[in-house]
Amino acid sequence: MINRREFLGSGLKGAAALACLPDVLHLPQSRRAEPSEERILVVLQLRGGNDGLNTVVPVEDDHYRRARPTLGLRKQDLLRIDDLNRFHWSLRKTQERYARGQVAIVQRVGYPNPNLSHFSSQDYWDAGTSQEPLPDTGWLGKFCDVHLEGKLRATTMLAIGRDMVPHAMRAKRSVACAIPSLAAYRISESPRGSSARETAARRKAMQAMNAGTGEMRNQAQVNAVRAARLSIAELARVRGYRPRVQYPKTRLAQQLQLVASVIGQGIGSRFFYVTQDGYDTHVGQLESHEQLLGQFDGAVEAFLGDLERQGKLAKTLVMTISDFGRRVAESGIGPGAGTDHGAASMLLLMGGKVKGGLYGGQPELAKLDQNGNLTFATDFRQVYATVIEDWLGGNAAKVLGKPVKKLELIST
Amino acid sequence: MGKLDKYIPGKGDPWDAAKAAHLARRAGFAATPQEIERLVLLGVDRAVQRFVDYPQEDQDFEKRIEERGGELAELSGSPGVGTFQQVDVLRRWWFYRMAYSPQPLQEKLTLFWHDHFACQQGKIVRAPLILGQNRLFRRFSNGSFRDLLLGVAKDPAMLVFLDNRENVKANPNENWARELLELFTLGVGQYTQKDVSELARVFTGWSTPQKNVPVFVFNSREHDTADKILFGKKLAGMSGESGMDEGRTALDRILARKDCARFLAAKLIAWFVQHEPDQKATEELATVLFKNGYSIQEALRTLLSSAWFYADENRFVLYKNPVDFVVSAVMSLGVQNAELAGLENRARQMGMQLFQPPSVAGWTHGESWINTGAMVHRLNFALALSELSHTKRRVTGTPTLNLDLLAVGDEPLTEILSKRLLQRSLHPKAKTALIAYLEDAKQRLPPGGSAKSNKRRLVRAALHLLLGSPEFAFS
Repeated sequence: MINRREFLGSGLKGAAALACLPDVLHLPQSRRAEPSEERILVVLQLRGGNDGLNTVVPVEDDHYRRARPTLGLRKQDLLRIDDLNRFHWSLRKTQERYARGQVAIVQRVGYPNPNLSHFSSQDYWDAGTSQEPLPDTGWLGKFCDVHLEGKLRATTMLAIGRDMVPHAMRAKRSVACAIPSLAAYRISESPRGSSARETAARRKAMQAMNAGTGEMRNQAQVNAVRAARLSIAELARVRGYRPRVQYPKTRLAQQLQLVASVIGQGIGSRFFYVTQDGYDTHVGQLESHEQLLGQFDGAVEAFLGDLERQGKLAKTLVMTISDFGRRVAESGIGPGAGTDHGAASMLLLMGGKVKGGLYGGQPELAKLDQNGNLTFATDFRQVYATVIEDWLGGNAAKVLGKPVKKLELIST
Repeated sequence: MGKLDKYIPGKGDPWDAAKAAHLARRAGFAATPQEIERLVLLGVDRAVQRFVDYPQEDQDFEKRIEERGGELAELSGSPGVGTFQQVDVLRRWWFYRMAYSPQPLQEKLTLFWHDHFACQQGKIVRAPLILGQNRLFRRFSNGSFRDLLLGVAKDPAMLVFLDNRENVKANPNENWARELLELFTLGVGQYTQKDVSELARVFTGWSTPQKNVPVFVFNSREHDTADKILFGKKLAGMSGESGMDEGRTALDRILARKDCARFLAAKLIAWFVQHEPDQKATEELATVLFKNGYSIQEALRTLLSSAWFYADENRFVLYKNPVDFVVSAVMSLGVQNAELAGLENRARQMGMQLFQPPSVAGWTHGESWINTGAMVHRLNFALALSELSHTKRRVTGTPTLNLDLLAVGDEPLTEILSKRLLQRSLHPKAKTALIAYLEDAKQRLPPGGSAKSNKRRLVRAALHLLLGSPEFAFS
């Protein structure tokens, strides 16, 4: 059965996975989190398959208008990118930043032979390859395994607002923490009203329960309990953070606020994975897509603004990814109209030292594949390779398993 | 010799408490001492029957729920148009069923089907549709997968969730057709994009009168009556009410492929036996399904009666999903009114909110459940449960424990409670740590406490630590 990937080979399983992490539990509070000025990557997953054509609209292309009698957006409602393309009207702040040269748009990103499954595609993006069988490790996890030996902490990779660690962060020798919400990320060690001695004794006993190795012991659980304790200690500093800007009251904004707070405290976290759900717009797309992009725009703007005020924007790169784009022709009728699964699409890079601009060429609406989908010109791994080498200073061939041609997206 | 050959108790391999407990944990949620004793006396054949042979509806149990009154009773009647808030009631109602149903396999299978045909409440919104779907899963849980599949194809919650309401001849929508092949029957790679688009046309017109009305309707005017080609073979288009027969034919054509039986067999083995299904066992179970008209009851009878199921390699290797974890915990502790213990929120915090799977593919099982966020909440739940108020009386309105019942016997506390919660012994290091903790805690008991209340304190602490152990996390 190859439909879903079980992460049985995850790093948490190995006894050595956490042996190399600094034992912050035995350090005084003030020294638990070392300040860090390393570069940071925030992966923002638009889950479900964002409609690239209605995000960056090829307003001068007649094929676009013909394929989308209901969903086609009108030029005058949209926000200028260049003569041929305009942003969706919800992306007001994104467009302002684009105009200031802080946003790179890469068009026509994809991979060969897409099977149009959400789950295959999310797995490919997370694994950093579309070549089956996929490796157990994800591309971010692999980066840590390859490049951060000796520098790892329990909080190096954080999956924020998620109750699962994404495949992208699975590693052999590193660990990722899933933090659904910081407020609830605490362990209650003993009953309320317990003496300090009782609390200490109970904690010690629970640690001992979750220690030891052997056939029937579960190393993954033992490691996760330990990583939880280490990361809670490291994140203690973050709890006092107050945002510098007003964040919208959306789920995505709350998650990005947490990311900004961790970045602001400089505790050495380098990889964040955040998800905005809901992009599988098979029906009622006009309304739902407007809302989604509006939430995206507001949340990302608050986040980037917060980082700017903290002086961290130049250290932080945001990259959007999505399962795939959507079918060029719309389906359904009237307000119910939507789009089926597509293939190649666009993505955005923001902040950091991106060279703002539009890359990758115009989508070819006149030359669709046999399923009526857009073809790709840039393999998604080329974008990854660019981020790995030009942003993170790593070796793309080692992380992605083979050499991949880079793009010119990051200023040196 | 087959993997699924029947287990025959013998001298060196008797039907014993350990095997009975394994069956109870897997076919149900937990193995209480009473249940183990009963299963041992029944012998393996009748013990398996006790789980797999159950009626579609257990009148006595439904009556018991109605007699409890309150919010749960309402759901056993026939609710009208519901509100958003009712979904939480629905969750408590289901937790009650899982913890107390006399037919635990029915609930475990209902959960299996929810995971298989995973629909999200966030998109369906109205509780009656979700309740209707949940009842459908329960009614057909151990029946023929064919009946269930047809039921799901017509299920209003599914029609809304996968947008088949918008699947009309002028502009077909592929969402249902794709997931039907990819996630519900064949698996990715076993069909082409052409099959998906043709199948979408087959199901044009399968709809509901309005979005939140729990009724199926076939809209023949929206049905595409042209011929289709499915799996390279013509499927004759039909008009009028007969247009619906195309869908039935298409489902039969899917079921006639053995790959469908293989796909389902692998999922059943992953749910009941081991996370990574053995290929040979999968093939054998697929054959059982295929030869028995996709009867889930017969497939599980074979699986749960096999020597392989009871083999050492398959004991304690399933990492409990959060629902399994909380239900097994409240059952092992004999919690009263467990549905009021906030289980729906606890399971959500651990990554498994009922009626809100992460996607149409359901939850990812095995070690994916293990991460820092989830572990924090598993440990916190262990503490909260061990601190429920103690009473020997029957009470309503609040979850309680009877601590005195949990630690009866002359053996040391660690032994008694390990047996009750784990049905195996702790890792030696953990056991030493637990004993050391209890010895130390004894010294620190408040002066002047009675022997009984002192013992209860120690029982609570031991429960907390055992529920938080890696051993308890496995079934």
